Amino acid sequence: MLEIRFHGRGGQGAKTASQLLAVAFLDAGRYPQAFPEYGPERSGAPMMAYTRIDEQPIRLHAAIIAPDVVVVLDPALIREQNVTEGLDSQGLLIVNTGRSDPTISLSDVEGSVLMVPADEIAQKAGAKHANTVMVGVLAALLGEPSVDQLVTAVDEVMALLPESARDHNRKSVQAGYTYGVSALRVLDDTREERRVQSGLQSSSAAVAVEGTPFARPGAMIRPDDYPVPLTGGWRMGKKPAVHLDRCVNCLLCWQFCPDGAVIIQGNMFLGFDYDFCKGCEICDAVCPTQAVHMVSETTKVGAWGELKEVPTS
Amino acid sequence: MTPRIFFHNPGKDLSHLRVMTGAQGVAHAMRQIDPDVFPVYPITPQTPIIQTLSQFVADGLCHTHILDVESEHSAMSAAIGAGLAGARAMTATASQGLALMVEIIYLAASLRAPIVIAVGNRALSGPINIHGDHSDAMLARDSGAIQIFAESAEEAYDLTLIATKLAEHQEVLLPVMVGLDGFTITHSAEAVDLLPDSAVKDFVGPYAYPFPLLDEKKGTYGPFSMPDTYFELKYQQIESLQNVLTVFEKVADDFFHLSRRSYQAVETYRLEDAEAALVMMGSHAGTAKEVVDHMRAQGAMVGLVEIRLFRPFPRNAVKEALSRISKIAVLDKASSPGTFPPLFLDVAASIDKMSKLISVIYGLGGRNVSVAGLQDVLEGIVADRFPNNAACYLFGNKVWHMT
Repeated sequence: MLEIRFHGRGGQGAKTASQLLAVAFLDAGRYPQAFPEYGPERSGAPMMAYTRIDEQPIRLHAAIIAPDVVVVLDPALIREQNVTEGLDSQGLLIVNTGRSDPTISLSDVEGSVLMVPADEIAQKAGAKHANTVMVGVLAALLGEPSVDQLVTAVDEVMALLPESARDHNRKSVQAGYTYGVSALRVLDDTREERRVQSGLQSSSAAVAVEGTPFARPGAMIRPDDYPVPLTGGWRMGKKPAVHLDRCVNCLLCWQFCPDGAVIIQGNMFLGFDYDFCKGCEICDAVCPTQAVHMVSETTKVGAWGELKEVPTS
Repeated sequence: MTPRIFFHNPGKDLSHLRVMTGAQGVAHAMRQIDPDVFPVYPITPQTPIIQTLSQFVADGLCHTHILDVESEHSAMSAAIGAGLAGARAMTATASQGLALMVEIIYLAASLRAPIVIAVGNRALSGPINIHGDHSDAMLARDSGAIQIFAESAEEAYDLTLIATKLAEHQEVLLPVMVGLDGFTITHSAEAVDLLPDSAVKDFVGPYAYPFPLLDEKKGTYGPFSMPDTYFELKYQQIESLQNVLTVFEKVADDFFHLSRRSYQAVETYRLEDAEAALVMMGSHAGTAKEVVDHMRAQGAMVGLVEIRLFRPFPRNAVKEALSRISKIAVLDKASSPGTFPPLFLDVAASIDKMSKLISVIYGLGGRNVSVAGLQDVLEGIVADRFPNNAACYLFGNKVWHMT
């Protein structure tokens, strides 16, 4: 049995990827099972999707806890979720490096790691999301299903999308497959070169101890129950930052912020409250002087988001 | 590096199968049955059923009148009206929606309205939770509706077809709830073997309600019943539910001839010569079969009893299946605070008192039900770790006896 876990956010196509792979594997003569695991049902929330493949019909209806392969569609999730959980020395981890630093790596993975600039590949193919690229890469690394079977599966799973979107996804699945074939040559070498970038270690969320009573009666969450961000894993890998030299103190960001995450004192702008910021980018959009910029979560900023250098963009 | 090869045998020809979720499977069954009226209100995890069926209707693949109503209470009311008027009516719901519908399901059963209700079994609030368990079904347990539980996407498809024929059987005429575990089945895509449309049409046949409202002979439906008649009418309803046991067998037999897929009210798995067994229903019975195979391979004498028909409860078949099993764990994906959960009580009332019986509550609110967890239950009863009638809980990989 082959077990695959996809990590993504609502809207990035992890569920579609898991089903696409299932459809293509059925075409290849294997029995598939694909299922999503939702947290809160909303766009941007971290979620997982799974694909199980076997030579016999699959009767198991349990979560995949020891996957053979993990596919990460959004590198920012590595901070929020323990993406390598259950992955052993034979395991395979495929990470979309996204727009962030392509040297991201993980120290605690025993198996093989492949970093894929999947956003870039998808963009070249015209596709919106990296999910189909990652499926192409994965199929190449597994030796099946074939690229033709994947392309047919795109047509079936995305039947309700416009033909142009299907075309872009067919191209991105093919481009992913080609990338995967070439990556087979270098995959083993990457094991030695891994290094940890500070702040990127995986963390596991607080969970109640099995079978023991909760400290408080009833269903409630108090501020001290969870580590930051206090409101959960909302941000999609980018946070607002500010160059104070450019700020004219118009307070438009404060006025428009839906979460009260802009800190002011009197009438003075001070910065951002990362505990409550959900990364909606409205502050960036309304700032008339481009003082606010969305930057990668890993960018070093002051406590309240002050940028040391003015970005060139 | 060469590709990681997981499978060494060449692929089979599986071109007769299609990948679909349990919800899509149910929607396909409904498309093939093509009911006249479908009053419905959306709710997770049922929504993909009505979403898929609406697409079929929009694409002209079936001709069902989908009625967007303002609540599940109204959905069932409209279904009863349509069903009694002489139209084939179906609906789908889950959790809070089913809770709101229950009041009218009692009426559907009393009025003998043969309505098929697909239920994406989900926990009841609170705390609010969208994931799968059987709490909602248990709320409708005493309504007089028939209840069937599916183990996989294909079973959800098959049982929707069987439910339709069963509900409309002239000796039955009762609402049928087809339970498919929320997310675990509704949203899990698996290989499904759909039957040809024409074969399904022949199997379910035309809708023939014997006393339609629109008949020339007018009647009063749902009249007030005084203490001198209520009890007898209720008894008649109780009796009609008992008839289901024989009719289910007959319908399942017809279905077997059509599909070569066999269904029984109570299904046993590797029970011959078993000393210990699990009793459960729904999707996790599939996982349990894997656990049984695994433990059998290590020499343990274990098996499984899967309850497919929950209402009416097939008491004799359960008694027969468990007659030679000395150690039994009944697994409930629901709780009944203050006493034992429903399936346990039903099994306890059915079997010989010689066996040792424990209750295990598992998987509430969609908690993952792991291979290790089910194995710990079986190992626990084999090793006599629990006293008779122990109330146990499977939170994770280990079963806990709460005293």
